Amino acid sequence: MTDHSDLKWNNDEIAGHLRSAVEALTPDVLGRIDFTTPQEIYTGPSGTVRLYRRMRTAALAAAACLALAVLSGGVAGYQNRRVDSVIGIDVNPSIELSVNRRDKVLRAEALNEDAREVLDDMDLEQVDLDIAVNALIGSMVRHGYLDDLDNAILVTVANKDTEKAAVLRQDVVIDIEASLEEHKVQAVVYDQQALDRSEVQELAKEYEISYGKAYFLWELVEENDLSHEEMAAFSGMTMEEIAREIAERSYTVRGGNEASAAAQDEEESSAQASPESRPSAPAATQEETSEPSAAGAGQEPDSTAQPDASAGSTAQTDASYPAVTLPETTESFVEDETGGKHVRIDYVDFEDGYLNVVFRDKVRWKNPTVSVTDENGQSYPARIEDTGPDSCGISVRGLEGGTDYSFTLGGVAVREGGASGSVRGYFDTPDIADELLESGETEDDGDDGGDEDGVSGENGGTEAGTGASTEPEEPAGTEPEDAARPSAAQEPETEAKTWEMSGTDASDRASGESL
Amino acid sequence: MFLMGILTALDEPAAYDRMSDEKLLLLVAKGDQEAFLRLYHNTDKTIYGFILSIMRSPQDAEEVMQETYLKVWISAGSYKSQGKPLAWMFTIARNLCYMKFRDQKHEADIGLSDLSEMETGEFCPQIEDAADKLVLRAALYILGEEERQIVLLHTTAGMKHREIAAALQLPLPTVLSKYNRAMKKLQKHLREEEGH
Repeated sequence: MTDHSDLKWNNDEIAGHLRSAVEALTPDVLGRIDFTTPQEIYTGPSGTVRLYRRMRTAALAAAACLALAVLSGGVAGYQNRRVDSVIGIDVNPSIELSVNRRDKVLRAEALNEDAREVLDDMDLEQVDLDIAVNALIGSMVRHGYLDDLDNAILVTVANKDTEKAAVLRQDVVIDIEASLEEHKVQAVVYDQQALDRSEVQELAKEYEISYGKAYFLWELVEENDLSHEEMAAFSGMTMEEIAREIAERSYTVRGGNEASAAAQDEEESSAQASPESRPSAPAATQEETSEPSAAGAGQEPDSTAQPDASAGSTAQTDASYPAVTLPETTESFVEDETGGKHVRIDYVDFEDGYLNVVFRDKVRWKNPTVSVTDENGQSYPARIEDTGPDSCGISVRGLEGGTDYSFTLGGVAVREGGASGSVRGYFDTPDIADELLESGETEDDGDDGGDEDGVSGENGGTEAGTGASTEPEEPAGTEPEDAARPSAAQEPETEAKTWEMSGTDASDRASGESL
Repeated sequence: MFLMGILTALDEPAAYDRMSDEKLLLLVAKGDQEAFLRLYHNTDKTIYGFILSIMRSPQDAEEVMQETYLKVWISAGSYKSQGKPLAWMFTIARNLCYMKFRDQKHEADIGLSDLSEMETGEFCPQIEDAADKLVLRAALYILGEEERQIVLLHTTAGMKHREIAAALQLPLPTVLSKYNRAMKKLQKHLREEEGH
């Protein structure tokens, strides 16, 4: 192309070129903004309400038609040719299977272009539902709609008889999970029972999506009070993208009786686990936890499993750390006599005088306090800058690089059923902190060694931490950690854990302990 | 009187200079065009970088950018003050991007891959520097969407990783690791490209 052979392509060069390229491109659209466009005045009902009001008034005829098709099916004819239930499967391909009383497929319908590709030359008529589901999953894998990472599947069951629907729904989810396992694919499976709702019919029509997906989004919008725009954006996404949004924005997914979804319980917490919500997700998240652990063990077979090659001091303290943190490695507790839930720290991240604490469950705050002390018990000025539904940010001053500190947060409780109390965690400051402070924000540009391996997958930090706690069939209230970790005293396990925590940032390590 | 007039005239722009985007946005909600201009100049590169990272096509990005600022003007009143004006603007931009994708899908079945191939020949003629062009092309076509967002926001808009994490509502460690991974990918790609 041109003469750039003298370039080494380091981060600074890349950043510099990107900057000047985008600068050259940035258009000036200011002149094209029409200031005479009237501004909307926001006083009345939210966009969501207006959306539904509009939808309710519209297109009842279409709704009735679809309702007949979806819910009751062809009433006439032989029992075996009568549609008893309709099962919707959405990944990005959206497919609807109509089955008779004996769960034999009467019709497989492709609802979008992707689905046509998946269904291409498959003849599923009169095939047993479980076999059909298996074939569909196989075809989706072959066509690349389900790959190794971050898949999401929505299963929707519609049957007039809600009990029958509940049974069928369970069966289908089991079939799908078996099939996923067979094809060595992991996915979050959301499942729901759909009732006939005209507003959902309308949504499905407006956005050209399946009834099941529309139903799911409709509930999501209702539950989380989302806007029309967000609904529109969601409708254009694949289930995988929707699942990611749900996880990242901490949206609630309804767990009601008419329809419930098994959400990634990273957000939902175990208390949410109603009989219907089946966290089939963990397969994926577990995978992600085990990965860094394995990598950590492999990388440094010696006792000091620490990706941060920066300092002997860290390694040294590290060796002594497991002894302290062993009992509950990454776990952090609030003492709670009522037997309520504990506040558990997912991970801690310290950078640039700012400590970020992320919890595993949603929490509530009441007069939060924080104290930060070093190993000798000396305390440092710290202030809570920001409290969120599952995290908080703390600014701390006067810390030295390469030193271990502990912090205690007070006035925090698990949102559902926990009593207010305190929680303690650990972190250490990066060795090269001073350098970093001098060089400003370019700190992250350096090669951080094992950094990215520690945080695998799309949502690395969060998932790596939560993975261990998402044991699928765990009843609410029990410590899932116990199941995942048979013996807390196992040395390698502890190291892997510690390593995993540190994976959130190469030079930071964090863990928690009960008070 | 005259003096006071001069004083206020001098005072006004300076006041806008010092205002946070949040404050500007609240003024925009009241129909203040001056505040809008200021907000535009404060954010245009960031918003453009963000939109480009989603749309990948500079033409589309320009259209969406115009729509975004118009929407900001129209809907400023719906902004709920919570100290995150940029995150709010990103949401608007993102939604408009996705709508654009939907429209394009309706108009013709041109996949993204086709689009990228179409542009291989003359990618961004506005950019004169060949190396700039090469790097931007690589960033837009070999990185995933989130990676593109993070890389472009950090390098071109000068946003800190923490700010990016807040604006994209991602955990900071995720942003850090994605950024590092993306930069490594770019390095590898560019070095290989050079080898050929």
